[in-house]
Order: sequence, then C-alpha cells, then structure tokens
Amino acid sequence: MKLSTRGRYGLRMLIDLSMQKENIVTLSSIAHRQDVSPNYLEQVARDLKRARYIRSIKGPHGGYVLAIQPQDIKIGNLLRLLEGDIRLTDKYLGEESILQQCIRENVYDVLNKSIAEFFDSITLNDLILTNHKY
Amino acid sequence: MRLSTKGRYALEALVLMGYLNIKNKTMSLKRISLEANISEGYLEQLFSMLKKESIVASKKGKNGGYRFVKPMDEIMVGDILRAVEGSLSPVKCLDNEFCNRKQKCITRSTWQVAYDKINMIVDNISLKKVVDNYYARINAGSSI
Repeated sequence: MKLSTRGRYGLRMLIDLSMQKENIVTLSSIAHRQDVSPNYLEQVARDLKRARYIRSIKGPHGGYVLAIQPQDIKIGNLLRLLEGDIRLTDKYLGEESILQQCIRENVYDVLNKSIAEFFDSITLNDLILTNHKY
Repeated sequence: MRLSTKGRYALEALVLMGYLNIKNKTMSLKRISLEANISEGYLEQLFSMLKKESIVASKKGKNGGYRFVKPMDEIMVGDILRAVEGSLSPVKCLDNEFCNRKQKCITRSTWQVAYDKINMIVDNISLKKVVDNYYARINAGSSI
C-alpha cells in the first residue's frame, strides 16, 4: 500500500518550484536540491506540464515555472494525475461476491473516502506554510 | 498506493471463518478454501503469518486447522492487514527511520497524517463488526 516515486517526486518538484517564487528554475537544479535523478524528474515534469501545473521556458536561461498558484493546487488532484488515482483498493473485476461487497463497504470504502477527503482538503500552499524546514 | 491481494484475501478468509465458525472450533483450511474460493496453498501462507501475529492458533493432526486466539470483537481489521501486509504507511519513506532527508522533508508530515488516518480507521473496525454485517446480509437473502 504505497504511493509511487512518481507521486512523491512530482509533489516535491512543485514544492521546490513554489519555493523559488517567480524565478525560472532548471530541472537539473531541482533534481540536485531534491536529490533525485534528472532523467526521472523529466518524465514527471512532462506530465505536470501537460496538465498545466508548470510551464517550460525555452532558451539559454530556460527552465520551469509554476503555472498555478500554490493555494490553487489540491494535493488530491495532483496525486490523482501522477498516480492514476489515490484509492487503496482496485475495483473488483467481474462480479463482486456478497462477502467482497461486505468487506468493501465496511473497510475499503471508508478508507478510500477518508484518504481522498484528506488529500483534497490540503493545497500545496498548506504544505509549504505548515513546514518551515526547507 | 494499493492494498495487495494478501490483505484482501486474509480479510475474506477470516470474515468467512468467523461467519462459519461461531463457536470458534478448529477449522480446516480446506473448508475455508472451498467457501472463500482462495487456494489452500495461498491460505497456508496467509495463516502462518496470521499465526505469527497471534491472531489465529493452529492445531495439528487429523482434525487440525485454525481457530481465533481472541474473541472476534478484540481482533481489529488493522491487526489482520498489518500481519500480512506489513506497515500500512502510504509511502515507503515513513518505514525508513534513517531517511537522510527526514529533517528537511516538507511532505513527510503530510504522509504521516495520512498514515495515522489509515491506522485509525482500520484499528476501529473489529472483525466481529464485519462478520455480523456479513451474517445480516446473508440472512437478508439478497445481494442488497
């Protein structure tokens, strides 16, 4: 039951960008600060760009900037983009037995709802404001 | 961020075992396997993990099998899931006390809150609650 590196690194990339305010930031400097592989970060950046969380600036002093204000970025939506979804269980393929339905409604649905509500209730800005460890 | 088949099958097997076995006599894995439609070999793996965490106890021999160690209202869904899945943390970072970014990581406390929520939920659902609910559904005679 784990979020992948995609979700975690994508979130860290946006935090990093929002810390640099309006400055254009190179991917390699983010990778360096965040201690992750630049090649991998580039893949994540592509997804973030396609979903218009970030913009790329071309040219010799090019790089990335945040395209949305941190207070408008919901962590839930970001994780759904990068991870596919933020459910703890897949939907059953085929027909669900009464037993499976019973467990789903008593356990999985409760978990999924709570986790979704939590991640949807916080924005990138909340994350930055509650942490001053950078 | 997914629960594996281990956790899902363990819950299905134990809810069924609780339902079939109200008096908590020793029950064979063969019976559970047939009723839950999970292979006996896979159940053996799961039950040895559940035994290690003192959720079930085994009895060897001809009429051997497994029974619950505690009353079902004292067995929490969280105990069952952790016995077979390990930690239920949403990210592997939380399982690593020695992460060298721990002090400066901005996301860690958010993962920790999500982790606490997950544990709190599954530690508040007893096996008995799910078994009782299953019993009610079966006796209502419909798939609702």
